[in-house]
Amino acid sequence: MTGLKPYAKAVSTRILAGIPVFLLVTFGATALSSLAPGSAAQLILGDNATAEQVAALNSAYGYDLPLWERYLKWLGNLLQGDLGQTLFSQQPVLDVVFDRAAVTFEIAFLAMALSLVGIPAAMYTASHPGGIADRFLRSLSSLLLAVPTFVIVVLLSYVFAIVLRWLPATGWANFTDDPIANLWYVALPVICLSLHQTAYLYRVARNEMITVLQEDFVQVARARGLSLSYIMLRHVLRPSMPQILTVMGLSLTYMLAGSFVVESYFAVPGIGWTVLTAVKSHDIPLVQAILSLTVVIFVIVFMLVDIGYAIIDPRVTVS
Amino acid sequence: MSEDLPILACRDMSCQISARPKALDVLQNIDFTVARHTALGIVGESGAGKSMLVKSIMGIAPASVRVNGQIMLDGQDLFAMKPRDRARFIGRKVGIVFQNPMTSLNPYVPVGRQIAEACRQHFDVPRDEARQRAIELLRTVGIADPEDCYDYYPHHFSGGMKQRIMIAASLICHPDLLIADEATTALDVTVQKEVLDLLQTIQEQRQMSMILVSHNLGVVAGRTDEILVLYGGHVVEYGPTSEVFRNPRHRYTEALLSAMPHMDQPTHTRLRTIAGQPPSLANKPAGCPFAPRCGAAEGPCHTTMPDMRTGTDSRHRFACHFPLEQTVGPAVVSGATDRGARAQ
Repeated sequence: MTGLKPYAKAVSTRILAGIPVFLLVTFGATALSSLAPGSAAQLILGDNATAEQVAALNSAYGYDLPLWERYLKWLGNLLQGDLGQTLFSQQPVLDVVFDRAAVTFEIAFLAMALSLVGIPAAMYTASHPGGIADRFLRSLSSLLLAVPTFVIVVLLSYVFAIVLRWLPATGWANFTDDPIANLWYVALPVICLSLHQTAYLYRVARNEMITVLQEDFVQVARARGLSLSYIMLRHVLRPSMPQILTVMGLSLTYMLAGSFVVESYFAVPGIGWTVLTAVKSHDIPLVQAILSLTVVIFVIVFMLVDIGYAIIDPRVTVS
Repeated sequence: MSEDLPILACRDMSCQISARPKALDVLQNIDFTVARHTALGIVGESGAGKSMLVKSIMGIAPASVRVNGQIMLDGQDLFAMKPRDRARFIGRKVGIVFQNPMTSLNPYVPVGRQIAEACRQHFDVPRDEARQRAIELLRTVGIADPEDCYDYYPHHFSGGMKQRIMIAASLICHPDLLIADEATTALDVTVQKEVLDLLQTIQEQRQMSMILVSHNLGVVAGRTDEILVLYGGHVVEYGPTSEVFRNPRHRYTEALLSAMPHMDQPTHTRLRTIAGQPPSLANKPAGCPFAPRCGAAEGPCHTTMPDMRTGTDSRHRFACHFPLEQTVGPAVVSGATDRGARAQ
């Protein structure tokens, strides 16, 4: 029951289970380049390319090889830690992906952390249902969920960057170069990204807590004269956590895979923005690498959520 | 507190559920007292209002329920207190064990902590001392290895064990009154008897008062001093347990008693049942709630709610227009239902 051994086992089984998913998705990514009409090189070079140019590119990148051969070659290179060069900037794909992932991860984790305010808010309103705060937050969260992200980004950047001039509308500084400037640039994307998450997390948490409050053991706690805040913290929060954790896991995968709208609007050099440009310019090695990374993120996050369930609920065992 | 002051007194209490098109009366004209060191049995079939009565006393009735009248707990008027003070006061004075041990314990919290938490909150007992008290109580209710069990979670225990843990939890603040709301209904029969005996032993040893709520007359027989029979939200009969069992005056009580199997009955005889259904909240009869099912009901029974009358024994009261005749003189025969007789 205690110790790290069951966790080690759970982690290894889930990683093993993730391998087929990884192979399937990366194979699909390789196949994507063959699905498009014409050859990959034709797409990359455009309509004005000569047949010689196309053939040269095809053989240089191996696009003339059969699909399975190309995929095996890619896998072999992956095992050696080499995902090739990006087609246009000719940088190592791995370096580019890690750089961009760091940016997206920073924004995603900050947005996740910010959205956690939904939980105490839910605790308060669930224990005071029908109150002013409850009604207000219910309307506010409905509104936030109803407004699409692309409207939120425009609205917030208009208010904070143009009218108030508190925050920059676009731009980027690396955290390692200038932490203060980094936080300054990251603020608006993080807020925009977290608004939906906060509203969603709040609603799920509130509803789950309302359900838990109906449980017999809460009635018992109330009959024993325990204070409402104690009951919420000790008897309601933890039973609500599996549900909350599920939502957090889904949100996190969604944000870690890169938010296209937020990143492209604020010109944040993260995964979402990169994959958009890569797809547009048919930078196949880069698209493949990002898709692979996304699979890995999903497998890891879902594994963490599963382990979280086991930590939260004493009845669940990890393995 | 004075010793002759009853631990609990309900005066003209009623409960209403606010509903459309009209409010529903769950309980009406509830009057009873629980003297110190005595046990009261509350009996009634499902829907009679037993649980609502308990919840109203504990202050945990749903928000849609309005409780009127007066409830005096240990001489204090509960409705004169602020809600938060009331909850704390009740929590200190009353221990409660609910029907379903499977859902009464939080599956996410170790059982020891669930026992100890009330005295930590109400009396600021230090952590270690609260733990010692909880372990002591676990031992009292018959849990083996209480030190280890303190940190176990509810799913490690069987239903009977969980109910014992609930009893331990209800005792942590040294309550003056213990309420067992159908505490054994969800348990299987052999465990039922063990838990009931445990409740009774604890009540006697700790000099507490107890309210034993049940739909089963057999549960309260021999374990209570007084009995209160609820039907359709009304008290239909109320008196010393032995007296009510020997000499039921209300026809509902009598019908309930004769529905119970007896040892001296020939085998394979049919048990008597009460025809019909208990009244629904939405359309209660205008008169006596039992009138539609009662063999002796006549004109006034269907139109007027009978007043409480007093029997030969002044403590024995019943609400019936045409009560059964007093058949046995009071307290002459030493019935098997008498608490004193059982204790000897």
